[in-house]
Amino acid sequence: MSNDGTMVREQAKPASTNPRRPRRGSYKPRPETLALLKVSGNPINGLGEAEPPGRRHSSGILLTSIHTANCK
Amino acid sequence: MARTSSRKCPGSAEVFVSAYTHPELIPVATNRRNASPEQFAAEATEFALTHEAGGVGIAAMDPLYVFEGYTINELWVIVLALAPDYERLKEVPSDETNGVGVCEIGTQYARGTRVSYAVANWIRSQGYNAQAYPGPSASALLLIPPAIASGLGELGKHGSLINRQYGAGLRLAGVTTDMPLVATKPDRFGADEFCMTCQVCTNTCPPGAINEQKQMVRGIERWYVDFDKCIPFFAESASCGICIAECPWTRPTVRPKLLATMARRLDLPNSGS
Repeated sequence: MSNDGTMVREQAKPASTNPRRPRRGSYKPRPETLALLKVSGNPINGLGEAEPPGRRHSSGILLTSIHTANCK
Repeated sequence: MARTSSRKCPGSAEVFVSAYTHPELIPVATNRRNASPEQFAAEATEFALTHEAGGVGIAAMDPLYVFEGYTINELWVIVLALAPDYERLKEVPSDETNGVGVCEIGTQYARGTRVSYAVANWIRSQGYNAQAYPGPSASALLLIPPAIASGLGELGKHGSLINRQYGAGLRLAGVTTDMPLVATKPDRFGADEFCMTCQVCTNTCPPGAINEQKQMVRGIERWYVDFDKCIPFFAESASCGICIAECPWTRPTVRPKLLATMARRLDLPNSGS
C-alpha cells in the first residue's frame, strides 16, 4: 500500500507550467461576466437535491451563458 | 466585453467551422437488412473504428439522456470517442498568441462530426433510422452519461469522462438509432477511487471550481464541478480544458502505471490500455 501510495502521488504531480494558466485563487471573474449569469446553474443541475433523478436536465443556462459570453 | 475569443486564436476558426459543417443525412433505405443485434453492433462498431473513432460504446436509450424540452425516439445510442493528441492538448488554454490547445479540441470535434454522420448514414443505408449528435453541444443528447453506461470510462473528479485507453481528453459524439443493437458493459478500472486522493485538477483549476469531495446531485453522490465558478473562466478565456489536460490519466506515460496500480489495489483485472 505504501509503495502504491507513493507511486500514485508521484504520478499525480502536475505536468505543466503553462504560462497561460493563472494560479488557482488568482483568477477573479470580471463583473460584466458575472452579470451574464443572472441565475446559478448549480440548482438547475440538481446540486444538493437528495431525491433520485426524476426529471430531465436543462441545457438552457449552459448554452445561453456560453453563447452570450462568446458573442460579446 | 473584452475577452479572449476562441475565434481569435490562430487557426481555431477553421477547425470549429469544420466541426459545425456536416454532410446531409441520406434517406433511410427502403429495404431493411436483417441481422442479429450482435451482428449489427459489431458492424457499427467496426465501421466507427475505421472512420476516425477511437472508442465506441452502445447504450440503451434512457429518457434521462435527453435534455428537457427535447424528444428522441430512437431506442439506442452509440457513443463515439475521439482521442486527442496529448502534446497539443496540453497547450490549453489558448490565446491570441497560441491556439494549439483550442485547435486540438476543435479538431476532435470535427472528427466527431465526420464519424457521427458517417455512422448515421451507414445505418440508414441498412434500412434503419439514425440521427447524428456531434459536439461541442450535442443539442438534445447528453453524451457523458451514456458513455459511462456503455463502458467508455468513469466519471472523473473534474466532471469529464476518464477512459482507460485515452484518459480524460476525449471528445464525444453520438448517434441514436432504432437499429437493433446490444449494449456494451460499463468499465471500472479505478479512476473513481484514484480521484478520491488525487488533487491535480482541483489544484490547477484557476477559478477553483472542482470540488474535492463528491456532492449530492439528484440523489446521487458524485463528482461535481461548480458551474458558477467554471463558466466565467471558460467564457473569459479561449475555452479551458486545463483539468483534462492535467489529469494524470491523460498523460500517456503515466496512464499504464495508474491502470496497473489501481488494478492491483482494487483487485481488478488489468486489461491494459
